[in-house]
Amino acid sequence: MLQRFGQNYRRVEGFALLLVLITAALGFALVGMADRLQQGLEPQSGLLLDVLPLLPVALLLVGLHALLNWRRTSADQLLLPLVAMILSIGLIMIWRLRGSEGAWQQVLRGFLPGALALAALLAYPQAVEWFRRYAVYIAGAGLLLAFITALFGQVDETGARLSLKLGPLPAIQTSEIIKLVLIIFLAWFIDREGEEVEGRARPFLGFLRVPALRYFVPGVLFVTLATLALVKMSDFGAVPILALIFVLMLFAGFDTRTFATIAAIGLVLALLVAVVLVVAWTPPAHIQYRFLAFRDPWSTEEIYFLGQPTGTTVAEGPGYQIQQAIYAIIAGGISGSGLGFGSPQNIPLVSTDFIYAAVLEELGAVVGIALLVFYIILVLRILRNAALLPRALVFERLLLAGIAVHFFTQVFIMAGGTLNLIPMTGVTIPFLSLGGSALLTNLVEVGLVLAISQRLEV
Amino acid sequence: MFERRVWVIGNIFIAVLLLLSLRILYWQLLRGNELYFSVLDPGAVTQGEEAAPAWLQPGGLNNLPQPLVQRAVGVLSETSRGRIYDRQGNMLAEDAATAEGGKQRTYALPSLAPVLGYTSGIHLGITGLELRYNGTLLGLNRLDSQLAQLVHQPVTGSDLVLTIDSPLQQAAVAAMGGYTGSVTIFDGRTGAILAMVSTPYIDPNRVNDEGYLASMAGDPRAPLINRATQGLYTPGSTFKTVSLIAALDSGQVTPDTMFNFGEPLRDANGRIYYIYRVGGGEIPDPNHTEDRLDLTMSYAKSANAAFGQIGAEMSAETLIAYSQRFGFSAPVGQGIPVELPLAGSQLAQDLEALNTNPLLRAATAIGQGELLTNTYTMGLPVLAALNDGNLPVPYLVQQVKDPTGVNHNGPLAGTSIKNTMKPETAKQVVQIMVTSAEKGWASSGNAHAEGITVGGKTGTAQLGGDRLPHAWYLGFARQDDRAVVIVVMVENGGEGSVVAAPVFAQLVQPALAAAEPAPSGWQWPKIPGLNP
Repeated sequence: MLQRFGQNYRRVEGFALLLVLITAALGFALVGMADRLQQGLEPQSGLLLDVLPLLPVALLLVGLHALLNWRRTSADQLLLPLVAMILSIGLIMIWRLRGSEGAWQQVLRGFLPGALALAALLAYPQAVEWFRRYAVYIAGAGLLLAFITALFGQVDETGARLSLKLGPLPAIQTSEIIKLVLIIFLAWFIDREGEEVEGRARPFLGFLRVPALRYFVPGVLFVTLATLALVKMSDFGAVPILALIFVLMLFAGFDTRTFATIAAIGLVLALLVAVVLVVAWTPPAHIQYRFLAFRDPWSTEEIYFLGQPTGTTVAEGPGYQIQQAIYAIIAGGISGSGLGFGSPQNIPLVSTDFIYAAVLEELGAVVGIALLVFYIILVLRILRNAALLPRALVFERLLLAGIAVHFFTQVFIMAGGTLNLIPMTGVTIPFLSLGGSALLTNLVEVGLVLAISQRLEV
Repeated sequence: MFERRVWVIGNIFIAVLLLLSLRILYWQLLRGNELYFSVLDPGAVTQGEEAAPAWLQPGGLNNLPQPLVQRAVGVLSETSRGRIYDRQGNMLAEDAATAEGGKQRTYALPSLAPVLGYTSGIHLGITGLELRYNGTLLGLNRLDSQLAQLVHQPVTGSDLVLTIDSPLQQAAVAAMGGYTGSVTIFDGRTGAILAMVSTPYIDPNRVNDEGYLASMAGDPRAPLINRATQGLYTPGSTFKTVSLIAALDSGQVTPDTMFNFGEPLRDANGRIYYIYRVGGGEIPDPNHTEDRLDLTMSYAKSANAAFGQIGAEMSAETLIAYSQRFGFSAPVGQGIPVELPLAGSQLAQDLEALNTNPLLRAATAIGQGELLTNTYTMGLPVLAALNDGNLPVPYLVQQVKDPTGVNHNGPLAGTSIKNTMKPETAKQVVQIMVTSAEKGWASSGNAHAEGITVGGKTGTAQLGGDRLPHAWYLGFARQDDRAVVIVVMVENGGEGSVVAAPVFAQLVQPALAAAEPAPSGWQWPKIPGLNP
């Protein structure tokens, strides 16, 4: 047993995790001290209690680290510490915004099952092979789940059906799972059909190559059905993520000429669909409001509901949330107000949709940008693993590329919405936002990356 | 190649990361001031603008999103707002702790409310010098406090030292008694404003009482207005000082130029009066009995016929050019710099009409016509005349004291506008004003004290209808190296020589006592018959 931990000990991972846990402990202690300071209590009392929610997280992380060591794998050593760092920042913010209840919810409903799933994937890396073998069934089950949710799911306060309650289990958000299902399905599909598609492609206009249409029917069909289910669920934030995963995975999977042809055809089709939508479809009011709020959050233009004036301006209604986020970002400045000393609770839905604004206010632009850098290192690391895999492992390579794309598009859509760079859509930011299903899904994805990264050609 | 395509995706992501980071800095560095810190420093926004935005008016902050106000209040509660002192070091305004643990701005002299304005958190607006110097008082414009704010350290604002002299201010309030009107007292050598009274005024310590503030805003006597700078009144004969400067400086007349008024007429009570006819209209002149006077005595006796003729014979360009030098109808941005909200004085509603209408020029030259001004602006020509034509720009803030121990001069202290008139003209104007206060109507305001030289001009601004005229007195007093310019206006007070002159007379000695002695070696311009 001991010699397993000797020469082959995963030092980088071990030291990085230690660093992350110390930082996280400091963060938790600071939140607790700030809280007591504002209540007029002695700030140093009960420091140990502050760190308590971190304990299960630390135990699970150390457990995963031990498992990786025990398996003597060559899996990537940077992924786990990066995920732990982002997760800790998220937990600290959730604890500060929602109290221990929110933090425990995040740990017990998201991190605990996620870490167990991750451990299972590490213990049985051959599971990845099952994903490939049963990709069609997984895709079918995923679609079915999505439609069941769209038709019978729980209706939340905004009128969207995002989650499904199965028996005594906590509700699961199907829209989070459908993204992973799409990645698995596309990786399988391109692996299976890709070469054949390219082999049979006919030259077109000299440069372009037109593949036979029937090879695309399953892929396009899956994305269309998934999009329909998401629209039915009113989860419009997931649609652009799905589309970006689709496009970038095709880009990664096909040679450039074939992709260019597909992209051109796709663009024409998308334009046609867009024209039909503009003519025949009135987007739901809350989508219109989000565009109005994006265009000018301070606009004094009156908003209309079902063609009727509401007596509310954009600034008072939909623009309010984004305004508060921007005030929070400005108030935070370079170094932030300090944990517990800002007022991010002014932002509606701060712990799910706008947690990044809370990070920027209390921890400042420094940590805000550092967080983005953590994400980019994580994503580039996954892409590097994909590139270094043996060429024969097409499914695994595409799976990794898809997961990287998923993480980063979600970061972009979320942070871009918070910073009013793009319209706000209510999606989570990976590992950071409060949300059990999203965290679970994201951890499974990390597990897949870790399991696959053992097979690198180094 | 898959590797190559993955590399492309990675680079797209890095570009997106840069975009997101730049967007953070865009909000913080480029838009932060306008969106967020401008609420703390409304003065920075209003500079150069004609009127403050609606949300800076009292109560207007309710238009802002409430959480922004709360955020701003949070920052304000952590900032120690600077104190305001008068020239002798007496505290005029400071933050005092309230029983609830908050802060409340307290003001020592309510009569300074028109000058200092008030601030109460930011819920009820902020006015006057408190607004103009908000950034300074909160320390927002200092590098050290900006750095402190960036790392969220408490900020201490800078203190202001005003040119106001508290005893003189109180004396001026007492001299005004129950009158509605204003008094502005300048240091004649430096332009420092020693006292500025506008009656009636509010009690700035009570503005947190919204009912009180609302009742003051609804009061028909307009106690929220600073009449000295924001009031607009017909100046009457005091404006003859500007006409005199224009006529002398352009070479149109000399102090000895004689004016013939023709045959005397008699009104129903048997009093002698004259009429100057021009452009199909008449300028009545009931101010003297003589049928001919030189320029000096025409000014002293306030002869409308003489100044009507001067105006009618003067080119419109000359009249406009000299008036604009002293703030009348000056184009936006080219007036005299000022630290308080200033209502632009009006020479005529339509300056073009002065070209074609000699009657309007004549009526303007005697101080009627369409003229509108206030006591602050009327002091400017006299300040310039006392200083050989160089106008010392009036100022209220003489020193800014940073908590770091560094002191700066006020932004307007020591500035002047050169050559508003020739030095000879300035000397002649001073002599004529002294004669006026010795032998003319203005003698009723002459203090006649030993060693004090007084010059002055009364004004009785006819308003038409059965409204009483505004009573004016525009004068200066010199004693050794000190000088003061005092402008008194009593709204609908009656005769200037009867109502405003005694106020002036009472204030001459306290004002001279408050004026700053000149540095050694400094000398007044040599004026024959005036210098010791």
